[in-house]
Amino acid sequence: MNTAKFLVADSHVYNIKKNINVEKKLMESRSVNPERIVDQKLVEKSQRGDKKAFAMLVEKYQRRLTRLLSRMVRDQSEIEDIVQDSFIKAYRAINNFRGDSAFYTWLYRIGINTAKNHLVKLGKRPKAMNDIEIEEIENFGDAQDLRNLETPENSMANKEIVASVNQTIETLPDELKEAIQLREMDGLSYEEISDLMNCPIGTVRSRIFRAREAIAEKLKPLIETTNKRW
Amino acid sequence: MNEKLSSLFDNELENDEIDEILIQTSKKNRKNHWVYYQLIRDVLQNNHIGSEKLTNNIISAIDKEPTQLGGFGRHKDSARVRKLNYWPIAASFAAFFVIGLTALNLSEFKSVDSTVLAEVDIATDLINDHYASPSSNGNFFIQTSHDQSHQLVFSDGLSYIKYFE
Repeated sequence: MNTAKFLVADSHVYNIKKNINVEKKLMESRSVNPERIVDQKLVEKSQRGDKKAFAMLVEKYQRRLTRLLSRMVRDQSEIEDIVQDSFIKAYRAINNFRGDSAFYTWLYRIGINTAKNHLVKLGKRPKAMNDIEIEEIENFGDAQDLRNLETPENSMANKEIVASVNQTIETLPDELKEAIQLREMDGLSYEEISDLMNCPIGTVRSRIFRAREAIAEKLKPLIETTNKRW
Repeated sequence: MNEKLSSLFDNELENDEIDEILIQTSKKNRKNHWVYYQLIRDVLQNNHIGSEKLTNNIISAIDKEPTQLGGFGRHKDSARVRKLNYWPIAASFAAFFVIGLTALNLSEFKSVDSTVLAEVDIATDLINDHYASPSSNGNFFIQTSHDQSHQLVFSDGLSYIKYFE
């Protein structure tokens, strides 16, 4: 009897240890930033001559860099030139990027230096920025300042795009609407959405994709006239 | 495949799936969807600033740039490139090793020969007798033993034994 009790206790301890190990491994795998992995792969493809991969990085980070630099350079008309120069410099130097930092960290350093040089060239004193200030800018989510970049002609187009996205979302089936909103507006991971919606991760993946495709279909006529780059 | 691109956009793909989808996106025009996904995200997060024209300008400028080749990314291919760079160093070490080993063998061989030859006193009459008749080229070796005898053996089988006191 005593032996039997001991064996049960022993297997229980074994199971606890096993679970701890599994959780440890999961924690380790989660500690690697998945965004950084994707970026690194896009960088590596760019380094091997794939310009489309670099274009994906431009598409992904152009707005963030613009937002960052708009805090340094008050003259809105100059921001676009600086952002463009920054990406060109980044592309020219892409072979020097070794992945020691995140791609965006490397990019925004280039952006800040480009902005400083630009201001010095114009005889303007660049606003001194330390890492904390940069981080504050990074976390500043409101795009209000950037709306000053809008010209009267694209202002109308932008309003149409926003209206189209919002209207299409309202017409989506509830499960698609909920999935895309949880992902894009609340920033939840697929796993978190799967828990909330009580469905498998594969279903979440499919719902988000279908929602995006439905919205993209409505956007095509608005975008394709101006967007021929792909 | 576009479903995977959507997951890639959300950083929700496994490593091997990322490679697969990136290879596919290079072949086909799937990045079009990437643009729409980004646009939808901007609108839903209230970050849409209508900067599509700027993105176009940047990508057009990049297209005019010479294609970048090479790189130091931490991936298998670049690891292979770095590995290749070690070949000259490895080859140099191998060459030094071979030269060193050869030199060591030569010096050992030399020392063995010199020891044997210096210790043996070969009578000139024995050598003359050998060269007078046999057809051999005169190669020989000397066997020594503890009883102070020395045997001179020619390659044609003739041998002479001499005892030293």
